[in-house]
Amino acid sequence: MHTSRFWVRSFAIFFASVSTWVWGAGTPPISDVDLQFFENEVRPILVEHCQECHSSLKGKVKGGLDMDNRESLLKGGEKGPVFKAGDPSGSSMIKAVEWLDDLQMPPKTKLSALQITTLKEWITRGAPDPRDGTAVSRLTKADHWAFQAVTRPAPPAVKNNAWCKNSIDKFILAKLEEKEMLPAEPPDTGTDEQRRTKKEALLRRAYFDLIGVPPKPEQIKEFVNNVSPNAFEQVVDTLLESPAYGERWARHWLDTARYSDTTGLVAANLRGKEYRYPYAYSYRDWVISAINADMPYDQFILNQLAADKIPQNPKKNLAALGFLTVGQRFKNDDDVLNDRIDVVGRGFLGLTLGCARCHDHKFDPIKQADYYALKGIFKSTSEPKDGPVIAGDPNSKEFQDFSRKLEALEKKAYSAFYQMQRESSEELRKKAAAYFEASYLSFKPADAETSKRAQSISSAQKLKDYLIVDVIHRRIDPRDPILGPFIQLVTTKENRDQALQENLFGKTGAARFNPIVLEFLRSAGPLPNQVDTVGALFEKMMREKVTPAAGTPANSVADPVKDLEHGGIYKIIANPKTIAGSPQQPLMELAVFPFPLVVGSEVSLSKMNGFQGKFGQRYSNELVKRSGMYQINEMKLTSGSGPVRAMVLEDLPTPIESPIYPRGNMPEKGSRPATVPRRFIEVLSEGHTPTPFKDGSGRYELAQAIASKTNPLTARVMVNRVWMYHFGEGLVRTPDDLGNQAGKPSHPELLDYLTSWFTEDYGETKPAWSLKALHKAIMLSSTYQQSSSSLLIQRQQQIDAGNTLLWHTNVRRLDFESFRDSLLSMAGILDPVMFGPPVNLVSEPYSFRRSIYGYIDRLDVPDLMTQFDMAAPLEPNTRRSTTIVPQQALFLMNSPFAIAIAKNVVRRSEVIKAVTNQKDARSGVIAVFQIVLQRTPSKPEFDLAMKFLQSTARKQAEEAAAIAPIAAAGQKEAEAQLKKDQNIANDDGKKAIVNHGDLVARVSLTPWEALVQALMFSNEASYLN
Amino acid sequence: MTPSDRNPCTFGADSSPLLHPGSISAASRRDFLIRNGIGFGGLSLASLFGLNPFDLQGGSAPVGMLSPKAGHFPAKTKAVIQIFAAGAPSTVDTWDPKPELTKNDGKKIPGYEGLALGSPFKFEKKGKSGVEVSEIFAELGNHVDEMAIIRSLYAEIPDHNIASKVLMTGSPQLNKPCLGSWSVYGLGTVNQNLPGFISLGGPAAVRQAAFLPGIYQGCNVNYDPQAPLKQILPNITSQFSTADRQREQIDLAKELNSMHAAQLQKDAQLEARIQAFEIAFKMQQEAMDAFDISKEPQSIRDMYQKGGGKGKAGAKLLVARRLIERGVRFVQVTVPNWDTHFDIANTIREAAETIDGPAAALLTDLKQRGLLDSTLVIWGGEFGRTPTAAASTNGPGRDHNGRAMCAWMAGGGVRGGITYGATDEFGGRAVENKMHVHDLHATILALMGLDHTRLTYNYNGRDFRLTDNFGTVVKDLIA
Repeated sequence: MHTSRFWVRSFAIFFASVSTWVWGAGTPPISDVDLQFFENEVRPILVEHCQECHSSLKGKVKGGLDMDNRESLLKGGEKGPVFKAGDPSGSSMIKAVEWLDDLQMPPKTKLSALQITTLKEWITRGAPDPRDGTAVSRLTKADHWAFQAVTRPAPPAVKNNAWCKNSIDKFILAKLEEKEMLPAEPPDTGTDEQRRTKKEALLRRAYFDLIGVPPKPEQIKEFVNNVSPNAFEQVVDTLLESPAYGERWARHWLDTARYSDTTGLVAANLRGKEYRYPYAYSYRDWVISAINADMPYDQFILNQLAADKIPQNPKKNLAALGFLTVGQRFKNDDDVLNDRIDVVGRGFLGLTLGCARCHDHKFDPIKQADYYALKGIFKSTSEPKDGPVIAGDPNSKEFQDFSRKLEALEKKAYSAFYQMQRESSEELRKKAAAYFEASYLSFKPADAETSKRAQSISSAQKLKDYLIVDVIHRRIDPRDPILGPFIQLVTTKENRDQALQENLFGKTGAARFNPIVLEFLRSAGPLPNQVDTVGALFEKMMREKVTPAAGTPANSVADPVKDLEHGGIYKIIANPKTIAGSPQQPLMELAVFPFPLVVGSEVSLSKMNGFQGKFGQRYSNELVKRSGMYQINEMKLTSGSGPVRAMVLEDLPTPIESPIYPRGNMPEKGSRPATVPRRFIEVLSEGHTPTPFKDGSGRYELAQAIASKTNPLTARVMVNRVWMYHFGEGLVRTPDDLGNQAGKPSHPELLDYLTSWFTEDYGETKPAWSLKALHKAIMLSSTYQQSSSSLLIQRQQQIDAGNTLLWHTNVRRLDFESFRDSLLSMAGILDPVMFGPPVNLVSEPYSFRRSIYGYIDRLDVPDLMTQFDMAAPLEPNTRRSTTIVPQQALFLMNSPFAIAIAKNVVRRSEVIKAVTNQKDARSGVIAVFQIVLQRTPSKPEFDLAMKFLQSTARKQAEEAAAIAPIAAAGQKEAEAQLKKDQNIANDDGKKAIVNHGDLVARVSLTPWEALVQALMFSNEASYLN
Repeated sequence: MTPSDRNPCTFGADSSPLLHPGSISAASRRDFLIRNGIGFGGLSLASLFGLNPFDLQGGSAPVGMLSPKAGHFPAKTKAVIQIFAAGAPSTVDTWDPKPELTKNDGKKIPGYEGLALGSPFKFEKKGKSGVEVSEIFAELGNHVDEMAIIRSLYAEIPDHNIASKVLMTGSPQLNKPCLGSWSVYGLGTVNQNLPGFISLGGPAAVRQAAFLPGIYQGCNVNYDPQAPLKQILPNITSQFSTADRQREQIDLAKELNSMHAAQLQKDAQLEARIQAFEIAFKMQQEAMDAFDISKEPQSIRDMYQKGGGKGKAGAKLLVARRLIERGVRFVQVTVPNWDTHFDIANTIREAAETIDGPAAALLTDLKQRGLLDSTLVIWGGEFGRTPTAAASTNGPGRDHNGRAMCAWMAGGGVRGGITYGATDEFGGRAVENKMHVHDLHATILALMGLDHTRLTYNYNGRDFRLTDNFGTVVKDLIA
């Protein structure tokens, strides 16, 4: 550390705290408002339009004017000061930017009126300028606590040692004692009844926290009756070993990893093309497995950034790379790379690296060069067309069925692709003269007459406008291998014979044009020079040189499907290796005209997707319709029996460095912006001097730099997140941003203590980076086991209403997944099948799988999920909102899903007895409470429930009669809708997945079912306490 | 300075964590309140913390996330109906007559590629203001005195998807909340039994709340006058229970809730959730009513169908009026078919036919109900089209053009009977009073009583605005 600079920094902070920024001795203070004005409005103008030429830092001080800092700007240039503070009209700077006199600045483009007004306003204000020429801001930024090494503070001394179960408690209690506050009651105190209630609440909390589903009645009973001091520890151990633990905590990580089954490509907003990731789920499944296996968190990171680079890494770990690839896609690759930089920054480091895309980070010590160093890493990678197969037994019947079906779908799609090309080519050949003429005349017509002529030809010959505009126009080019010579025949006027001789039949012509075309023209006799006569010649060539039989086995062109099977023309061109440079190439090129040969070659789904960009929408829409191309991914997404592929990245053979984009904009063509080597960010590198990466793209080196004990952010970020999921709030409340905007942790020493403990290796008992060990440490603390009741301590409510000091347990709403899963679990219908392709969570027929297996459409998250605050999968969003909206209530009241739950709860053996036998009503009510709310009802609650049963039973006949016609109509509609959804032929790629299964029968509820549903409405069913 | 005064990308002033080490900043408290908020009015989680989550007027009555709130200054309009003319409408055929272009039809014109294509439609002076209106808007033409026609808008990137995103969210690529979401975030909504922001169809991206809490997302209603009402809003009615039965269930749950609460601390979230059921119960009836246009007199239904029989626009705009009338803050209606690459004489006429009668009916209807003064109606697409002919042998068309686009606004504090800004003599480039979408957004928010520089949301350590760092309110458009 440089002590002198450190002093400057403290100085700035000191003065900052009196709400005025002071930038160094001798600089007048600048008010908040002015500072904001300068930073927002003025500085961008100076940087973008002035300092290119007036900056000593950039080495250019034209006219002696240096605009880098306040002092030099005040001094002015060779002609003296450029402005008078407070007097814009008397300032030469304003005259220059208004272009009033000879001196016009900036010289090339005048500033906008708004920018000029801004500069005037700034001068009117007295030109407030915070820039004192020293690098104050950057150093201040790096001084933030989160950039300092993690320490191992000793747990503080406390008075009430007996309360403390482990060190966590000491850190918490010390702060409470400081304020003379008391923690809430532990679970093992009070009367029997109170103990039972608290233990039931604790058990429920533990179940939801670790596995996301509630305990079963027998598990509650067992725990309540277990008086062993280790009873809770046993529960925690059991839950951590449950596969459901991975399903719960993987979902948390997927929020951070902005997981989605679709690309969210901007162009797919309107869903014109395939937008689904058929194998995103391989990443989701990897996360579940890794968490269940308690993969050390450092390994977890290494795999997600560089699984392919880790020595002897099992193949299945390649799926981890989905972390980088399941993000949002954009038309612009720079935006895709930005998504990857962003998820690495916020996901692993708690840093908003994306802010440094256009400028040095405004709050954190991240330089723009840091951003582009990382960009170079991801720029040096590519994605293979098909990821490696990581699971699936090729010998199984299912696998083979899948392959057969896939092949059939692909064949159908690709055949349609060829078929449409062939039809277009044939159409063109039939009317080649007219197409030539109409296309030529309508392409940038010189006058209205020409344009009209094109139109009349087109309508007389019934030409297809889209073929002309979307396809042929793209080849109206004198250098085109097929059309070029004919275009030259029309356009070459001067010195015609010689020019044609040189341009067509000379050396360049031979290299450029199709030899069949040239040969035809050589022997065509006198060459015409009018559009119509040239068109006729073109048609003659097409007729003579391209016949269906030419170059293909007999009959093959007649049927493109057969054609593919028998190796006809389209089969041949489908393989560029066969055709490139072969004697058949010229003929093939002619046969597929007006499509370029490359389009015909090696067809694939992604190529068909790309078609729209190449050939306009009308052609593409028709292709989608005829090819059924969406069914390919639909099948991969839904079948589950075929191969599972990993969404990997690979390093380019030759890694590249990224140029630094000025202000985030792509450098102009011809400019030579500075590049930056691939490396880690400065502030987190040793001595702030990073070493350039050498191993390929550098992903493995990057991963190692992140997954390091000495990285001050990585482990802190994760420990804070785990804490957040257990307590409702993190020690730092912004889990994806630990930078300067985050503020200090509520318990900084505790965060460091836990972090250093987390990364430490204690052998068998506690491996390094073990998340399971961290859960256990947290959950075995008294802090975690406190009651949520805060009724008794009104005073503390006043001191710390937000419960920052954790003097009781927070009441928390269940998130979408655990809410839905808990309903399924209480109904006894939760489908325990793990892994595999996604299912539809929101529409009938319902899936009863866990919510983590739900299909997530990035740009169209179903309303149900949004209403329950599901994380938006657009960016890393580790922290969810918990809003309350009436739509949540409507879901519980009216959705067939909620009804299915109520009906199935009543079908459970504990309840069904009571339904059939009035004498068992009592045990039935208790069972219903235990199933839905995971606790025994109190006497008043019991009475209420009984009263409800009696009252609804009395009105049951009336109720059933009233609902019958509504239910019947509903049933009919639902069946019609399902029929429509299940017809795969309707798939235009726009709809979500359709599950298999039954509709929920539309019939009125029994009194017992109504009781269960009412309990589902209660707050307790949706909240943890 | 209040937290909401802070602008993005600056050193925060009073809420900078540097200044309050160890404490939770005002911004993060506000963030907490919003994240853990209540999606309707009338309850006070905020009061627990002694803080208004929006703090727009320095601590007026505490509010829920959707309860109506005062803006930064007095509002000119209470509600907005945004008609999105998807596909990028031509300007010179609709609201920007160009006689020079017609004169040069079929000729090269300076500064443009291709040949000039004069509009096939005649323009006529209408109303007291004498604003010229294309013949394709025969009905709307009768309302020019209420409309402000903007001729100088421009779009940066004339790509449908990107420009639509800009039009809705102000940003070409980042995932930002859209205008409707910002409006409801800033002002809440009057009717707590209906969503505050309703989108009647259109792609998901035009109603996204992005980083704002999900309750600010446009509620998507694929409204179809032919479809049964209950399919319009998911779960809006029960096919299993009568209202009486549900009443009893809710009453039981309420009693259980109060017993439960007695054992814990008072928690505003829990109280709010009880209320959510009451609202949901009422919503079932109210939402069904709102979307049921069969309750309108035949004469009104006929009026909205005039000339627009082909599309659903009439029914959608009628529903929009019913929603606004019931206190919905923002309704968005997408009316497509403006991507007229060929045969404009027919394609543009057809696109106009689907909206001319219905939009005119909407203005008439709002006016006769005294709602026009408090309802802002906006019409516009994502960019404009070239004054020159697109390559086509299927009747002349127009290509994409981002340099000039049109929009109109009416009602809700808009100065009627004016045109604003101008394009060059051929209509392909905005030249006078050029107006960016940010300026349009700033102006719309201003009409709603919101200062676009102060309507901010803190996300990932940065305060975001609809207008980013830009936007100027165009005062000429405001009455």
